[in-house]
This record gives sequence, structure tokens and C-alpha cells, in this order.
Amino acid sequence: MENLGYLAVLLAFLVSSYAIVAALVGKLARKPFLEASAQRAVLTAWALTSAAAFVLLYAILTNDFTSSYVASYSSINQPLIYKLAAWWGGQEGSLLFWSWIAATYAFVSVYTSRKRHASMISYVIAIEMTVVGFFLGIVHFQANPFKVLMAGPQITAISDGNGLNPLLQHPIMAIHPPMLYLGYVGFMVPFAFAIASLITRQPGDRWIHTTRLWTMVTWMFQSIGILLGMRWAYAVLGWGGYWGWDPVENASLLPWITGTAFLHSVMMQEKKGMMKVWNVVLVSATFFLCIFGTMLTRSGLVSSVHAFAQSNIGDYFVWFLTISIAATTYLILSRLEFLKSEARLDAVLSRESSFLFNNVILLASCFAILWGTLFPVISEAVSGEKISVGAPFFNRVNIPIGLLLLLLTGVGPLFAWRKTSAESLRRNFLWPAVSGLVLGGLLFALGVHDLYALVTFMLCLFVGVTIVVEFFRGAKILQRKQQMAFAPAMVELTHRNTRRYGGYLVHLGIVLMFVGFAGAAFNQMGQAEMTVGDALEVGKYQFLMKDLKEDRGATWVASRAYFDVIKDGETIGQMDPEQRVYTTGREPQPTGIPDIRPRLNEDVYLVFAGFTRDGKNPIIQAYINPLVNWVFIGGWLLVLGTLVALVPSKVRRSYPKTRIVGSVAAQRKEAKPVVAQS
Amino acid sequence: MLRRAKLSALLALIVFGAGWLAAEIKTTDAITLQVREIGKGLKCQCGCSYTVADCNMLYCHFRDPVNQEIETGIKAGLTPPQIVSKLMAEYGDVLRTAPKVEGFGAVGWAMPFAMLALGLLIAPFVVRRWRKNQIEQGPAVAIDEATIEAYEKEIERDLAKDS
Repeated sequence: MENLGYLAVLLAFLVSSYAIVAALVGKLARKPFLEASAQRAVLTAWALTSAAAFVLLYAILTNDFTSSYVASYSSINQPLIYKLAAWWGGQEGSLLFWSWIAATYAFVSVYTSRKRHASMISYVIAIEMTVVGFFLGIVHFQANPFKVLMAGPQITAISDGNGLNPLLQHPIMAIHPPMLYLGYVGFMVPFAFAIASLITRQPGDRWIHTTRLWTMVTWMFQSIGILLGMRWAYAVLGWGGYWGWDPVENASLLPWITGTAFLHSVMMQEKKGMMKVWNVVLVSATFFLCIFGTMLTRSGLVSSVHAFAQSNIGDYFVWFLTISIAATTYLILSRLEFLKSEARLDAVLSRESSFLFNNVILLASCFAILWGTLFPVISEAVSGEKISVGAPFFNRVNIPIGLLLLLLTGVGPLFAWRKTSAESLRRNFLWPAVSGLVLGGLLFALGVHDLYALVTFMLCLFVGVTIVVEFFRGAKILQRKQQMAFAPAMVELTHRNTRRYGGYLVHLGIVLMFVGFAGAAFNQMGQAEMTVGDALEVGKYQFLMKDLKEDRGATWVASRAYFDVIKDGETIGQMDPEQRVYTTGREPQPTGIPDIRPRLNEDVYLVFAGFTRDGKNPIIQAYINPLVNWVFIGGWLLVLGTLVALVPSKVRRSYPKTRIVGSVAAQRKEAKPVVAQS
Repeated sequence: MLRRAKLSALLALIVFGAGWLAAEIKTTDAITLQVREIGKGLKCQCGCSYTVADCNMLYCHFRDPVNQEIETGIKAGLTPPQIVSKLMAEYGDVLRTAPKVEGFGAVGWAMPFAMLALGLLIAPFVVRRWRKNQIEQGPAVAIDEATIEAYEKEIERDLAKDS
């Protein structure tokens, strides 16, 4: 079977290479049959990559321990869901998974856009298949998951595999990597369309629409992937947090930020024909950051608890990135004339300006994270000293930037396109601003003195009120016009302009996430060695240990401690954190399985950290995490908002674009240009 | 009347919300909090890659004594910077989770804010250039009344659609 896998990857690599050549030669030499052949090659490459993936999955599911990969990442008693997760649990398998998703994206994007974008589809194929081919080449030549275990010249097998890393044996880990990869890889499609449009000098209107849709879909996957990663870290790693500013975590955030910037600035191109160069730069930067993130996870460039084993594939990524960035820069510079803005700005106080500032701040945040992530490497190269950069640096730099961004989240949508009057500003901002200030004053008076948390709560209310008022006003007007109840009017309003109101839901999600982030300023933690009958007190809570028992599963044995949770003298529930030791394959590895009591106001988070040195008493850590669930609630609202924005609006919008068509000095009192919305 | 009722409801909601929020996030154990806050700025040396505050390694040979030293420092009336300096003198710069504000470390701190400042400085120039385009593109050709009316109707239609 492994030979079939080998062959499938090799053939997929060769077919991808053929697709590139056929697409380019067909387009340049005007040979339609070659272009059609390139399209079929995309399908063939996908089928071959799927076949390779099937072979690997078959080997995992049938416990084929002649396979080096299966022996390393799976075991006989591993539950089915984690056997599937073993596909992306190791370096080689995950690269094949990357390639398969890329091939699938290429296949779907080419076959859904080949008629609409017939004039540029060959270039899209060439770009997408270059990416697919690059990854297939890495899989085949450097990180092949189809190697077999050899004893001398003989293929051999072991009786059972090592099994998946225990930390990865969590249901979220079966979904988190696919979602993240769907996000990472998906940005290849907007990039391919952007570059193809540059090569063919296509007007922006059509490709930008296709690109925006693909970006929204992949951005949503990326968001889900990041959210699940945060939830996994929170539920599994047992340190009470969800984001540690680890290089690999940062790598997933970077393209998400530039993708967010693009989703805002693309509106400028759609509505006004402006920021064309910027949009191409953002789409390209997002794609390059995805590749950079993949490199960071796999090359050992920076140390990370999440990274795959160190390998030499980083060099290939560096070359790929260097060549791609150079080619893209050349293309952009050589097409500057074609990327000129079609319109102009009417007023400084306008939605257009707010988008510009939003982009500046998003990019500053992206730079800060990238800079902090690479600083140990840069400082070592410059000063010879490898300086650690951890959460304190990222928090100190990013919190003010994040708060500026939060402010703009509320301010931006309230500016009108073209021009905003002082009266409209006063009307839109008065009550949100008053609400925020009143809340701030009250919280301060009630003893909340953490500056950042205070400002965050104020801004959250400010932005929240602006969004709620927007919904409320719109629904009220519709209710009056259409004689309908308020709730259906709200739904109708959203359905009429899904993009705008979906966007507001996304913003509301961000607001809720910030509420959760601010709550972290008030986390509490306690730790104690305990015996049955002991109590640990943290904040308002007391944890009374009632029992300590052993439990056993197919692949693990566990020690579980049972606690009564007491608040204000009253028992409010039971919690039972455990320490699990996985017994299959590799050395027994103890893993704490925290027990979390989730509530909207605060989580109680209990960890069985281990045993005392004499092995008799458990060591228990207790965390009280105020407002933490709002991070996840906000995250899911963000995803819901994106889904709403993806639903076609009931009222079809042509997005009027401003342009000057002539002057009417003779007909009007003052000479003024006539502005057309086309 | 209705407007006043709405405003009163909003204010009541804010007061209630602020009270709830303050009650939920109020902390009781000041020492634990301070130890944790200081620990957040120190890198644990047990290989966990977390800070001293967040390390969850069992019997961490580093976290526990450092936390103890922080607590002793707080009880002795030392300020957080004094405690951190004392620990740095004892364990060295490996404890740092962020660059020093000197030498190349200062560049590390300044760079993100410099880039933000640069962006915010350039943005007004971009806005001005966008506005300048208006003058350069300026009046094109004189057009007749019928065309103007047609465009004005189109604008009305688009604005009505957008509202």
C-alpha cells in the first residue's frame, strides 16, 4: 500500500507541474486545448492527492505498523476520532493534509470560476498549482509519510504504535487543525486571483468580488481554527489561560489580521474604486504570512511548544517565500498605472478615512506581533544575544493598539460614505459615549482601578451601544414602513443587507471578546497539596476534597479527585479534575485533565497537577477566571456574523461607485462637479 | 416622555451592569494577586515556555522558590520593580520575558510604536492626496441638463436603496 501512496504523491507532483506549464503555454501561445488540459490536470492532481491521503488513512485505520508514520502517531486502541486526527498529528501527514486541502481548493476554485473568469483562469491555475506542487514536492522529497520500517533489507512491523501525543487526544484537536488549515490554505485562492488580475490587467470589479467571497470563507475558517485552538489550550493545557503569545499561536493570528484588514479595505475598491494597490498588497501579504506561519511551525526557526519536530524544510520555504515576494513586488510595481484610484475623497470625516485608519492600526498590530515573534532571532543576529519575548511584551504593545482598534470598531461604521456632518456625528456618538463614560465612572467608584480593564469596559459599552442602536434604528424604520413586528423587522433588516448587519454582528462578537480579555486582569489562582478532608480557598470559593479514586480506560489510567465547591458557605456543585497517564506505546506520560465549571460571570477551573513526591497526595491548582467565557461566546458570534454576511442579501446591491462625469458651471449657481454613482 | 423612559432604562442597565461587573471581578487575596502579577513578567526556567505565574509544571524547581521570594519581598514592603531587580540580580537576564529598555532591546520596544506612529503620520498625507485627486480630476466636460437629471435620479435611487 505504501508504494501506492508514494506513487500517488509523485504523480500528483508531476501533474501539478504539468498543469503549470500547460496553463501558461496554453494562455501565452493561445492554445485553448492546452488550457483545457491544464484544467483537467487540476482535477487529476486533486484525485491523486486524495488517493495518497486515502492510502495513509487506510494504513492508520488498519493499524499497519509497517508504516513508520502510523507506528509513530497511532496505536491499536486509539479511538477512531484520534486515529483520523493522526493524519495531521505528525509533520509528514500534516504536510500531506496541507497539500490535499490546497489541491481541493484549487479544484473547487477553478471549476467554479472558469467561465466567469475565463480570461484569467489559466494564470489562476498556474499560481495555485505552483503552491500545490511546492507542497507535494516537500511531501515527496523531504517529508514523506509513506516510509516503512526496515530491519536491514526487510520491511518489518512493530506490534503496536506509539499513539498520538496525549495532549492532542481531545475532541477539539480533531477539528482545530482542519479548520486552521482550511483558513491557511484557503488564502491561496484570493492570492491567485489577485496575481492573475495583475498579470492580465483585469478591471477590479469582478475579480475583487470573487476574491472577497473566498477571503470571507477562509477568514471564517481561520477564525474558527484560532477559536478552537484557544479553547483547546484552555481545556487541555491546564494553566488556566487560552492564549500564551507562543510563536505558533502568533503565526495563526498574523494572516487573520491582514485578512481582516483586506475585508475592510476591499469595500473601498468595490464602492469607490480606491485602495487597489493596497488591496493587492494585503491579499499577497496574507498569503505570504500563511506560508510563513507554516514555515514557523515546521522549521524550528523559533522555539515553540506547539511546533512540529525541527527539520530542514525551512530552507525550501525561505526560497519559496523569497521568490514569490520578489515576483509579486515586481508585478505590483509594473502595474501601478493600472491600479490607480478611480475616485477621490470628498471629506476627511468619512467612512473612507476610517477604513484607512482601521487598516493602519490593524497593520501596526500585525507588525508588532511579527516583530515580537521574530525578535529573538533578529536580536541574536544583530547583538549576538537571544532575547526571550513573551506575553508581557506582546500584551504591553498590543493592548493599546487593540484598544485603538476597538474604538474604531465603534466609530468607523457610524461615519457615512463620502462625508459625515457634525450633526450626524453628534447624533450617532452622544449616547454611546455618555454610556461608556458613565460605566467607567461607576466602575472606578466601585473599586475597579485597572486602567486597561477600565478603558476596555468603557469602549466595549461604547461600541456595543453604537451597534445595538444601528440595529434598533434600522428595525424601527422598517417596522414603521412595513407594518411588521419588531423581531421580524430585525430579521428582515439583516436579510436586506446581510453584509452590513453580518459585519455588525462580527463587531459585536469582537466587543464580547474584549470583555473576556479584560476579565483576565482579575484572574485568581491558588495551589495546595491536599488530602481527603482538606480545603483550598481561592477568592470567594472553597474547594473541599471529598475523595480520591482511580479509573481506567482503554489507553489510560487516571487518578481523579472529587471536590465540593463551596461559595459563601453553601455547596454549589462538585468538580473532579483528574490526572491521566497514557499507557500505550511511548513512555507513560501524565496529563492533567482540568475540570471547568463554566459560567457567564466566571469560570472555576480545577487542575490535578500531580502527586506529592511520596506519591500519596494530589497537588491541586484552582483558578478563578472572571468573564472568560465571553471570549468564546464573542468568537462564535463573530463566526455567526460572518455566516450571515455570506448569505446573499435580499436587496441586491450594485455598490454605487463615485466618479466625476462633468461640470455644470453654466447651469448651477456655483461650479461643482457632477458626481455619478455607477 | 418615551425618550426619557428609554434613557432611564439605559442608565439603569449601565448602573446594574457596573455593579454586577465590579462585584464579579473584585478580588480578595491581594498578596496572591501581586505575586501572580509580578510572576507574569518573569520567564520560568523549567523548560515549560510559560511565565512563573503560568507555569503548571509539577514540582517546578524554579517557579515555587521564585514565587516564595516574590511573596517574601511583598511582605517586606519592596515594590514590584525592586523585587524584579533583586530576582534579576540573582538569576540573571534569562528571567526576562521582554527585551530590556536599553541597547537593541530599546529598538525592540520602540519599533512597533514607531511603525504605528509612522502609519498614523502617513495616513493624513494619503487622505490629502485622495482629496487632491478631486482637484486634478476636476471638472471634465460640460454636460447637459438631461444628463444631470438622469444622474441625480440615479443618486436618489441609490441613496434610497442604501438607507
